[in-house]
Amino acid sequence: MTAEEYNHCVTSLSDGIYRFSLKHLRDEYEAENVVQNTFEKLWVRREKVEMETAKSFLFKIAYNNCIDLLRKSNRVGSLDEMHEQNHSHNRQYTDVMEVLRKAVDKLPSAQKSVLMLRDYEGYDYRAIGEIMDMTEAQVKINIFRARQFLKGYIKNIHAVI
Amino acid sequence: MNEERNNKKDSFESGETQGMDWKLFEMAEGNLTEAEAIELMNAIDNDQGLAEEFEVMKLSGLVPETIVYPHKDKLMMKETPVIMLNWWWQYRNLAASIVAILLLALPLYIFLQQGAQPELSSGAMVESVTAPSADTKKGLQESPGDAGITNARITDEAATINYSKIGHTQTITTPYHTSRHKGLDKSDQHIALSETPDMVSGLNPKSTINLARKALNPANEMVEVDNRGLQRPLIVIKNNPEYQGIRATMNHAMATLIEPVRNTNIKVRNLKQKGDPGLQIEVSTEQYYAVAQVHLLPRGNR
Repeated sequence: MTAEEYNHCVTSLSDGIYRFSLKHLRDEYEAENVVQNTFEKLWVRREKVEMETAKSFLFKIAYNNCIDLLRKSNRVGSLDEMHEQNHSHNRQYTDVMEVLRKAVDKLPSAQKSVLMLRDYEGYDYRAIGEIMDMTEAQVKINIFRARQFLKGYIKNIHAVI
Repeated sequence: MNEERNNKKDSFESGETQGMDWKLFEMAEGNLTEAEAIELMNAIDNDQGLAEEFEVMKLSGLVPETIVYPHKDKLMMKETPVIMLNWWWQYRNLAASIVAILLLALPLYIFLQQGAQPELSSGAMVESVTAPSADTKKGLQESPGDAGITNARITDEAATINYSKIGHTQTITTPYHTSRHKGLDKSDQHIALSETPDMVSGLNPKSTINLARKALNPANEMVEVDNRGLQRPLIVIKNNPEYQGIRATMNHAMATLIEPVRNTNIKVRNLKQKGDPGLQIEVSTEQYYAVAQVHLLPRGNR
């Protein structure tokens, strides 16, 4: 990968990496650090990374960075915790998109990651599996569970309203 | 093992999630065939609860938000010649060694080229050098020999040197080169040298005088001349020396070159009290000892 190709990656992918990190960490400063670390690693290994695989490489590095930071701060929630939080939602939410954003924040890291990679970045199951070291079936199950949770969250909000 | 466990888990989870929710999920993901999709759409049309579930399922899809990373400029990179700099930096030792070798080899090469035929400059030969007198010799070392004054006359092709011992006179011609020098007539140039082996041995069996001229034999080898006139190579050159790296080679070469002049001592004494004004210069190293006396003679006394 040349410097020009690297700069093209910065231009086209830094926003997505930043959004992905910000959704996970919910902290702008930490998300910016993740983006810097991710692209720094890409620059160091640019001789080995092809342009076609750069996007997967970046998201994989960013995902691992986010998981490390969440583990350090003990912010990786379990599925059980998530279901408990499901019933303690804020009743003031009226906009579906806002509700959805809050619901995504309550998802476990793995489900949140697969859902964002699927909906935001448009990856197929195989590519998501390569990024997150999962099989395609595991990716599909995680997406299904995430959507079931979001569906239930939305239904509960509507029922309250 | 892990793969088998994952497959079991996947099959279990897939079985667990079978049902209408799974079909709605597959429909929303676009994984159903056309026939399956039509069948499910018919079911949704006929079931109000299923239709609501499907609507909520469609709402669960995330819409990308526009979030801009604010520090893109800091991430941009430019190609810099760091690699070239590193390359040069890696070979700096080699470059420095080559320069050092050239600096050392050039004077040695010039010296060897001039070799055994040192050029006598006409302007430099106006002084006279005499062998030490008997009194002076006693101050240096007792010797059975007797030294005489050796006179040399320089011509264009050669220098003729006459030297004398007690009861013995000999003339030798050495192939000295001379160079033309403005302001002096060669016919007026007379030199007196005290440099024959016999005379040297008369002064000190272990020493030579004016060793620089004796240091090279006709084969351009640096040799050491003992008091019997025998020569032995000063620098022993191995035919097939084992190469042990440039550092070891340089260290060996430096040690070999510096060996003849190691621990050099130079003493200069005033000889004025012994007659004509003059100097005695003693040069001693670990391997050599040389004495030269310079007397200043008025031109009228020649």
